[in-house]
Amino acid sequence: MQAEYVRNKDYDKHYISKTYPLIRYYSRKAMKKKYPKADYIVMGAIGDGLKEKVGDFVLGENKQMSYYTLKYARLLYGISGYVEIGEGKVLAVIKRKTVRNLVVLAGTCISLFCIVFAFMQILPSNGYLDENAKDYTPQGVVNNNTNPNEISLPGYGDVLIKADTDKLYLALYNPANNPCYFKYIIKLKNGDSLYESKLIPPGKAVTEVQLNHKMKKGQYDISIEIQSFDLKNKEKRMNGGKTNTTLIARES
Amino acid sequence: MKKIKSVLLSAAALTLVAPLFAVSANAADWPVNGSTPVTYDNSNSIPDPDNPGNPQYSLNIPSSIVFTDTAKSVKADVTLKKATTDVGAYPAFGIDVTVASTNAFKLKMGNDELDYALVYDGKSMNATDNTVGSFAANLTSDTTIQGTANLIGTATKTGTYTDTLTYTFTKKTN
Repeated sequence: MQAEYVRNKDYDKHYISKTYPLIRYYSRKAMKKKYPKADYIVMGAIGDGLKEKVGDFVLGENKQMSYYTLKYARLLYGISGYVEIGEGKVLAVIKRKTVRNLVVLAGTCISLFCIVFAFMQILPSNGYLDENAKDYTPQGVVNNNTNPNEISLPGYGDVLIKADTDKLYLALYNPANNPCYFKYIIKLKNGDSLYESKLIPPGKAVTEVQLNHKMKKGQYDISIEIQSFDLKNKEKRMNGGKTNTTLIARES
Repeated sequence: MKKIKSVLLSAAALTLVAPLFAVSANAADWPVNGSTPVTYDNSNSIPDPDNPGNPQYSLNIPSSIVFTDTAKSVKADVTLKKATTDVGAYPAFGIDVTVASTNAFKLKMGNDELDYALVYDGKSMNATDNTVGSFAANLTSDTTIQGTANLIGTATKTGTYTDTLTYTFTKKTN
């Protein structure tokens, strides 16, 4: 099938390939002006990224090139404009549009990211839970608390830490059957805070406690406070407890 | 051959008799002044990431005290439980228990207050006398300090009046 190039004077763009002479054509904007009702038929396409040949596009002066079906990789190529091959019949001119498409792709990704980020801000998050709390069952611990009207509080004796370190290895534990979250607060007797956890769900414990500062060799009176919060409403305080004990920083 | 036999017999006889002499020699020096080393090896006692320190006991407290029109007196027991399955795992030290209230032992809803009494050992808790009781050292079974909470006032508004209690457990030093 042959398509003959119509040499219009009002073409506003041009296409140059390595093997063929300059081909002038209408930009998409010019096409809208020429065919405001879009009453033209696209018979095929010339240019880059095309594969299925339809016929020959005759340019005159014994020069011709193939034209193809309008199938191309839309991520890499796009319609740059149209060349007329008859009254109301055109061939699309396909050009590589990588940069434009990459900009569009980047814009789409940024938009999607913004939408997901906005949803994450709106939807309820689990940021109130302590990310260091892990499933934990203290060795040999008996917890027979099956009464939902009671809270089982772990009690602590003397607590040991290696001197001149700020890592305390102690199971700050919320027994499995408790009807509440626990928040642990460790303070020196003078009120200085050593540690404050986020909420720890039942059955989990923080075992690596990052203190606010290193503890020099010695003994310190501390309190380990446990605040409890309703599992159904984390803003609602329940009864809590506090253990007064001794932190011993010992050289190893 | 005869000579060898006699040498062997002599050696055997000496082996049997020698300890007797040794014992008698020690007995002659009695009393002996000696030293017995008294040591305390705590080199393995600092917990590490693989063996974090565990809770030593467990205390059950009321999760919340909820009064209704039909339940104006509710239990507020505090129970010390065994911490581990090991024999003799109750704490080897005594524990004193006190209680503090966020609202000075009043139920509150906004600016409205409602009186209640938290009673342990016949005493109503207040800011200055808040001793719940004590647990002795080396208990042999779960032990409960019994308590009750009694609603005293009458609500003039519908809604939920609340208070939050904090029980403090302090290791006895003697």
